[in-house]
Amino acid sequence: MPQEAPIVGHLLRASAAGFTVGTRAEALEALNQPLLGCLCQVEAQGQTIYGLIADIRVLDDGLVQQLVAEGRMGSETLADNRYNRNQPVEISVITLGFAQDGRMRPRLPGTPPLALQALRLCTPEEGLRFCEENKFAYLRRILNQTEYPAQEMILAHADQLQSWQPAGNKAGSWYPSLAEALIRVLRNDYERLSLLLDALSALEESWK
Amino acid sequence: MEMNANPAIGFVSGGGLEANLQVRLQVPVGEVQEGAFVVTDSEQWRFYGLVTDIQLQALDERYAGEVSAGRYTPALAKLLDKATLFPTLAVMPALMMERGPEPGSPEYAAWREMNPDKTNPMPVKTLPQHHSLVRLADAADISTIFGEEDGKNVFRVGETREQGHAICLRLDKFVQRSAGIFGTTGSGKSFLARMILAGLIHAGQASTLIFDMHNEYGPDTTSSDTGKGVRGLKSGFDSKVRLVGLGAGTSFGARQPDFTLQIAHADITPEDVLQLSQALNLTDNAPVVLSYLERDFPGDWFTKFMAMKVGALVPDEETGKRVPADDSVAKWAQSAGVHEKSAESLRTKLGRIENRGYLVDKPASSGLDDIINNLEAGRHVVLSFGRFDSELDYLLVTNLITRKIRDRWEWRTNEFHKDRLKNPEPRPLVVVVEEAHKLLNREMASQTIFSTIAREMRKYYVTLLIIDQRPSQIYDEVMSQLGTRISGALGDEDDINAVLSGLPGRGSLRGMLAKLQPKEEVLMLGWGVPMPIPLRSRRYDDKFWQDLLGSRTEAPASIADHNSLLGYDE
Ligand SMILES: Nc1ncnc2c1ncn2[C@@H]1O[C@H](COP(=O)(O)OP(=O)(O)OP(=O)(O)O)[C@@H](O)[C@H]1O
Ligand SMILES: [Mg+2]
Repeated sequence: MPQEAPIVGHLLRASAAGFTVGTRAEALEALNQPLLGCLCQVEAQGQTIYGLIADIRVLDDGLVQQLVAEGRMGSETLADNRYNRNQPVEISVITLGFAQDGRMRPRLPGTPPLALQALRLCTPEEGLRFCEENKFAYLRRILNQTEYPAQEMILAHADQLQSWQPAGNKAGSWYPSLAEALIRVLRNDYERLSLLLDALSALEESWK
Repeated sequence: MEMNANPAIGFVSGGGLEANLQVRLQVPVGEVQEGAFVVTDSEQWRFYGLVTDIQLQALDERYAGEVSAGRYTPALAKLLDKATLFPTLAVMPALMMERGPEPGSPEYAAWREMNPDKTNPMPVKTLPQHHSLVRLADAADISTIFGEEDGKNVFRVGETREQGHAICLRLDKFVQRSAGIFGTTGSGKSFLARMILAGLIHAGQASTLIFDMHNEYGPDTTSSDTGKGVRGLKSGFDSKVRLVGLGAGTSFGARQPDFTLQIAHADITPEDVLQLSQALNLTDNAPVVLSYLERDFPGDWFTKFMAMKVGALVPDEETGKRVPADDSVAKWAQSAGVHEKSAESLRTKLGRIENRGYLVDKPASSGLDDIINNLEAGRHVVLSFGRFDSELDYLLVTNLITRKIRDRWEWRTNEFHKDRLKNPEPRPLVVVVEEAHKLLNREMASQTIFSTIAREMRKYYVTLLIIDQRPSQIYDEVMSQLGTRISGALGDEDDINAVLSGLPGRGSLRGMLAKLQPKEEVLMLGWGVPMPIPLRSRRYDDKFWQDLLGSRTEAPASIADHNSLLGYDE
């Protein structure tokens, strides 16, 4: 496991299908990249569990509510609130699959990760390996859930994969495979599929 | 059985014995054509079928209703189309054959021992399983079904349209029942007929009598649309084929007929005349008049009748009143007790055939017997009508000759059945008629000898090969008797239905008939072929003759050629 992969946060709670990590607003800023739709991983009893960041929630507390209500939002207050207080940010992850004995599997792991484990962003190499070895079969999980915005997650996911291509390249070799998986899952739902392909077409154009 | 070497084009996705198989196509739709001959292996069977329809289907009509390349990026559009749009084939299952377990397996060896002989194809009684792979038939599949060209009996008539594998016709089977060649004008009927006849003559199982109304079978001719010379059967086979000209003095350019045919008045029977009822517009009383004529003048009624005059009157010696003359029709009618006006009308109408140049009182030679003797001796006769190419001549002469033939072949067959040791089996005979509807239309069918032949002469070793543009005009009872049908393009619904009458899979084959390429393609079907098959017809040209006869032609084409070979050029 590559150690240089940056840590996003630490596990707060988990189920088989997903989990939530917590971090500080300040730490998120330090990561300096969009997080929605990013591939990430967490170690759990000999398995590496892979997931996609589905949501990021900045929580409030009594003080924040009070500050907003009073309209006290000078730059000093903002900075103080961000750096000196331990106001948590929660990041939700959908579990997509896991790796065991060196093999990638697009299924839910037997046990969820445990509390306080570190959630790391995947490195390009690891992320691509997970996608390609699974032939994007895990996209079904994203598309079939209703809790998070599936289309947005998939577009963000594709954009992350593309950001790993050497600059100026057109869509990587993973792209047809991703599109195929999407079409396979959604082809009986004309309306949803055509909206998704519209958005994906626009995204693909933006890579040129 | 060997694996078919072709790649799969799709898989069985549904269907039934009645309703055709549905095959999901996995190659671009343009790679498969209607009429393609396909095979499918499933369990111990190999199935043989014919693509009868191709359909474009979509998972959801909305995918088909919008050009995806116009909406999405090319990469996405291509993937989407592949997943949502798919062509399917309708395949008419025709035959199946036991193939045994996988070759090489222990079960296979055991099966081989149980079935030492070659297994034979049979009509389909079951279906391949879902998802059985479908392939285009390869050369081995096609020769399993249609036979392997042997230069004699198994005669190549063309090739499959997709991959150009030879499609053959078994001539011995072909001549066992009457056959028909159909197609619109210019579709290639005469060329195909000439080619099959050449094959028949070469193979030698049957004699052929060709009524050559337009002088295109015997002598060499020129193709009307290419202007190139076209070899006739006479120069192809020389002495095996007798070229007979109707009437004295008929010739075909430089070529003289082997002999000419003149018909004696005495050979004309009332039956022959009745067969012209329509053409001569005879009245309903004509049969009665004819029967009295034959009663009064057995053997020479025609001569006698023609000598009588219509309306000849002389003054009565006693009364001075004008009465019918002794040599008048009326006189005879009165004495015979026949209706006068009917007799006179018949006499007048027979005037139309009286002066045909080939009808004579005493022929110089016995052309009619020569024709029959030649046919019995295993030779072939092309009777060219020369300048006598009216419908009346055609009806009269073909009926008259064919009736004689029927009598002779029936007699021979009966003799043969009486004493098989002493009497030889009759020589099978194929009688070839162009413009067959003139002889076999609904009104005529009851009168002409041809429908009798089509219906029952098989027992007497005589069958017909009829060639026609308008099969719908031919009496259905005759059409349904045709063993082998070969048809070029047909446009008319009724003609298409007529060609398919009495055959299974009509609905599926109909469209195929309408879309055949003129001059190039035909559909072959019926009892005489294992399964219906469209094909690109073999070219009838110099190469054909070379392939048929070997590089050495059988004999010099004509006396002129012969002479020039010997250095006697004039
Ligand atoms: N097998 C063939 N080989 C070579 N040429 C052919 C063949 N079949 C058809 N053709 C071409 O097509 C033309 C028409 O063919 P053909 O004379 O046989 O038509 P048809 O069906 O007999 O027409 P019709 O009903 O008017 O007599 C020929 O002149 C020839 O050029
Ligand atoms: Mg013709």
